[in-house]
Amino acid sequence: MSQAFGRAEKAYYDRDYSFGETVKRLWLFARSEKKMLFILLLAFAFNTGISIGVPLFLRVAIDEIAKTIGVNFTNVNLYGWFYLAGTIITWITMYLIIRIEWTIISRTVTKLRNDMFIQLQEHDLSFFDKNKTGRIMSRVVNDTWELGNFMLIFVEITVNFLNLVVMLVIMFVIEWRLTLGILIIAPFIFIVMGFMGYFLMKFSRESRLTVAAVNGAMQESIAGIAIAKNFAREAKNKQEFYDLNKTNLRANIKRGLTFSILFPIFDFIASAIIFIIIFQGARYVVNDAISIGDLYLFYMYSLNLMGPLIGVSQQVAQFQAGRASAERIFSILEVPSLMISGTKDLGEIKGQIEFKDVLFGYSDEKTLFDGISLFIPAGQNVAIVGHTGSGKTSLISILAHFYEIIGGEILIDGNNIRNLDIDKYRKHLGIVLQDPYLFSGNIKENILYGNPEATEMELEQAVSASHVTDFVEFLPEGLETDVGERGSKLSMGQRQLISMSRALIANPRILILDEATASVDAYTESLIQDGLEELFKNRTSIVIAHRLSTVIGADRILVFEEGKVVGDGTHTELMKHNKAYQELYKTYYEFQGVF
Amino acid sequence: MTLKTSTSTSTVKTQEQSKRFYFLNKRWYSKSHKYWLLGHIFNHKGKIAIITACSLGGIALQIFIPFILGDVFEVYIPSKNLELIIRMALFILGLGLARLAINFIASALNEIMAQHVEMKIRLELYENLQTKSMDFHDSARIGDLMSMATADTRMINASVSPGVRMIGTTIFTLVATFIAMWVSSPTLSLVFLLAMPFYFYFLYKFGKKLLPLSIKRQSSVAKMNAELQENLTGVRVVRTFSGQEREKKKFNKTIKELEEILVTRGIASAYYIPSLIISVVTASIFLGAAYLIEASIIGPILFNLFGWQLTIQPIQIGELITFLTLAGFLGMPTMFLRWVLDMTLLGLAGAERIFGVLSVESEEERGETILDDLEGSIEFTNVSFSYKEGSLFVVNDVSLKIEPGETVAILGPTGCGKTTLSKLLLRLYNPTKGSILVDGVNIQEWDITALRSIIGVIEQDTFLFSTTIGSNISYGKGDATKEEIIEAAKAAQAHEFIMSFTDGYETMVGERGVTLSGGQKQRIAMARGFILNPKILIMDASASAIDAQTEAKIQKAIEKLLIGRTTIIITHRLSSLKTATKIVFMDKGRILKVGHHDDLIRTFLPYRDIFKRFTDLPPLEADTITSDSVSETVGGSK
Repeated sequence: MSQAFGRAEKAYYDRDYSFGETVKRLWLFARSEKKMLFILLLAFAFNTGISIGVPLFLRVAIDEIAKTIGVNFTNVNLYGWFYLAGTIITWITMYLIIRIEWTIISRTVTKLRNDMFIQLQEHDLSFFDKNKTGRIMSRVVNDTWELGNFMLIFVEITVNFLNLVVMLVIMFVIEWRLTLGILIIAPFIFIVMGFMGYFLMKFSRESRLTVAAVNGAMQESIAGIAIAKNFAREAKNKQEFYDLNKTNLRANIKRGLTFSILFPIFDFIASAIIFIIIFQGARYVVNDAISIGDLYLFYMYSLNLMGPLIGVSQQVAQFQAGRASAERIFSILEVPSLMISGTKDLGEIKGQIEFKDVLFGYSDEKTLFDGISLFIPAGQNVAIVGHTGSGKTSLISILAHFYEIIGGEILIDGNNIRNLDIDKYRKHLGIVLQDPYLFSGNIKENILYGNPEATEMELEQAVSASHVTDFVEFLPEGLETDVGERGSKLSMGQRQLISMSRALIANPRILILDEATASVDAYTESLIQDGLEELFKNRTSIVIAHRLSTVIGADRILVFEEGKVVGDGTHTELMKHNKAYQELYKTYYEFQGVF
Repeated sequence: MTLKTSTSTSTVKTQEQSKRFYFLNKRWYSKSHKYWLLGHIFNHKGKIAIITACSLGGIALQIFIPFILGDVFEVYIPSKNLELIIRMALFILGLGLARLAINFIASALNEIMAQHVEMKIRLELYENLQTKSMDFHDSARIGDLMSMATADTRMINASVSPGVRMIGTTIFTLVATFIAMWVSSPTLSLVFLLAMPFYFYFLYKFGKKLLPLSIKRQSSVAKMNAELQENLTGVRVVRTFSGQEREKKKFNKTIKELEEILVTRGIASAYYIPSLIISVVTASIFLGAAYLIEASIIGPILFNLFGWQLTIQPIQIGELITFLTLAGFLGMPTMFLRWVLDMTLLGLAGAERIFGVLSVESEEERGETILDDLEGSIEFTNVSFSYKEGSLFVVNDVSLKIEPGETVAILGPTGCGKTTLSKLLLRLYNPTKGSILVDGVNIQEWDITALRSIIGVIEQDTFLFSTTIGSNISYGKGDATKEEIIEAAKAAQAHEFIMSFTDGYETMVGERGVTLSGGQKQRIAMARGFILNPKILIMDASASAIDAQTEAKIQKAIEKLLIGRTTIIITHRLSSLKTATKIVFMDKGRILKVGHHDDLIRTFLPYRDIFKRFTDLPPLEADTITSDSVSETVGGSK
């Protein structure tokens, strides 16, 4: 199916599964399709039975006709009718087989994708920091498809194998020497398939690598189209894209040529079998060792042998690919989420926050917080200031339990957040993130994302408190205006206001604003500031801001520097005693040009 | 698909020049997506000719085999002529070898052709997307377009090869088989002839039923991709609002829909009557032959049909075997055809989706003017703009003259149209009314590439490419030297942090490399704008994610950069406003006031309101304009 996303390379969580382990896991998925698989097997058995039986009838009929004298035409005609009935039944079983195969594939793929999706919702954010979207998508989209087909390989291999054995046994019984003669071909088929498999593997890898580059370039050129236009880079980009495509084309053609020699070779092998049948078999007929009908049976069977022989060797080659996909899927399904969460529901909370000796870092080598401790009483309005990279946003990320901390504990109203039901806990938090990510859809849908059950009144309040109303009024479709991909149709400031509404509509007990108005114009920002006091009432609030003017009125200001709190107090206190804060304040106002 | 199909914001239409982008000869676009696809395929006329010739040759060689078999069974074996039998066997082997060569040539050429078609279509889509207006890109979903460039082109590839070859092969095999049957036994071939109309009718019906399902399938797959991508990229928001359960439900609904389409399509694909017809024909031929042989023991049969005297020829066992083998030849291509049709229809569905995008009008790229000696003056005359026809103006009757070398600051509430103004200047959109002149020449007359390369933009929403930091900085200037890159980075206060990375300027950005903070990204984007040394520089609130200290440094560096340049700064930073030669205050798409900081702060209340928080303001003057009086003027002059 689609190869929309470059095939994933090995990820850190990938593990090796033994064949037994893979089959055991597959069976867990196949189990729910037991009935379907059984019918499929039955249909296959019927189909195979008839494709083996019909030539047997033909053989007798031809022998009868070949007698020339005293032909029993009643029998011949009867065989003819059997033949007709047989072909119709073959078609019906074929219909059933294709239909059931599609049903099984569709259902399994859906089930796998669903399970993976559910598992993905469990991970903490470090999983998504380490594993890029494209790679995960490739597993959910492509590998599942591969695995859906892989399940059927078991059935197909069994059927093909049985088919081969039965036909060979019959042929052996009729004339073993001729059968052996034909079987000389078999090793050639396996050798050819082996070579093909090797080259296909090699060229496919090459093709996958190059196509990943093409897709990457395509993705960036679409996502960065505005930049390309701004910088008038279209012509140069085009040339680069051409070159990437050319490389990919070469790899694709190599793979394609390997494919294209495959069927001509099989066609030739069929000719070779006919050659053996006539060369060797005709002699036996002449010597009366076998009848003319037997010879025709051999002809029919050896043509029928081709299918299963090709099938089996192909399926063996596919087996590896299928197993690789299975590994990638099961790895993602089984990588444990680092999240530790409990089931405790606090009901209404007061909003008291405490960090106790918290140890945290994004990588194992370097910690950002080396035992930070903080106490924020319920209802306090706290501002956090500090340079870029000092850990302001990280503090909020661990408070929201996006990441697991390495040591210490974070307490809400005295309860460790690890013991809390995570969904119920996060409902108490209203976070306006630095990057105002919007989903495609309209403005209203995006705001309601914060609380789908919100009433019209609540929506109205959230929209006016965040001053979304000011610009929405102006849009012809109002709140129903489509925001475009990731909100591309709106300005950065508008997106921030919407994301603020989205947080407010949940009426959270703890409100967190992370540079929530950085891109909003000063005019609107000052309007929001005026309303903030009202918003902060009865809430614990944490505000991160570069613009110091917006935090001067806070109950308490924390100054961060390299993961440590270097200042704690009100604006006036800090201005008196705290060097770091004075420095920040001075540069800010110097720069603002007020001094 | 969530693409708008025919929205063009421009009213200035060119009569003689079509706005569409043509990759192939224009005539291939005159009809449907099928015709367009054919255009791509017909680029390979030579290959098609050879493929056809090879297929014909292969069939001609194949058609001998049944006759040889028939003769062997009927004549040589009964007459025990071993020498002839061996010769015949060798002949079959020889035919096999010849077919091996011929089939390989046909199949290889077809494969090469399909790969080229796939690539060309992807390139066409790519180039076409580059010419599309921003309006189009704002509405299109990246996931959807990506799905076209990858999954859909792939499907087209799979349908071209072996499609082209198989269509020829099937038709030739049918014709050749019929001729061979006719030669062998005209009577038996009648059975075949009678079945043919049904064969083709059901083939047609099969395709007709599968096509809409194929289109549904492709767009359903695209929808799933888009949703998955959004869930993954928006993971922070999903978590923040505990949206997992809702997301699960939504995704489950989408994949269930896809499952249903796949199952329905599978059933339609399984219900393949033509292969039943061929089987029945083969069996009927055997049955008919048996009856004929029985009847012909008495001698030739005379048959009176509507006055026509028909003689039915008796049949021998050799003919029977020839017939059965011939009919057997039809079985394979017929079965194969189901698979090919299945693929082809998915390919056509893909072609339709891609063609839908290609058909959307491209942005207007008229104009050839390239000025060598640029001054940098800008003039907006009565410019109005709305994103959609009939909707409110985002920019409303704006007139503004900017002299060369001036620094103009634009400010105003969110959504007042300040960013749109800069986009109009870059011709990312065309004004609905009015005109914009750069150095006295209407930008519609400008060569668009020349226009954009003299205007440097530092955007609000920074997008960096996943390449090295150095390449990102030199994005707009491919031939930039190492020194130029460093100089630009220094001006943007980015040099220091770039050098703190182990690989310095060679550090990869994004998926494969370092994760940059918002402020770092913005500084790289600034360097990217500076390196061009543009005559006109637009800076769009570009420092919002940078802390005050860093920004103060940038500010100092910029002051030097601004000399000799026309600059438009979209900002509300007091220091920038103070140094600006002109401040433009906008609200609701209109210019409310133009003036200098010292004037505005004393006389213009909305402007004053912004700064009341920071500082003690100079006393108001008597003729101050208040917000209320402002909104009155806006309301009154609609």
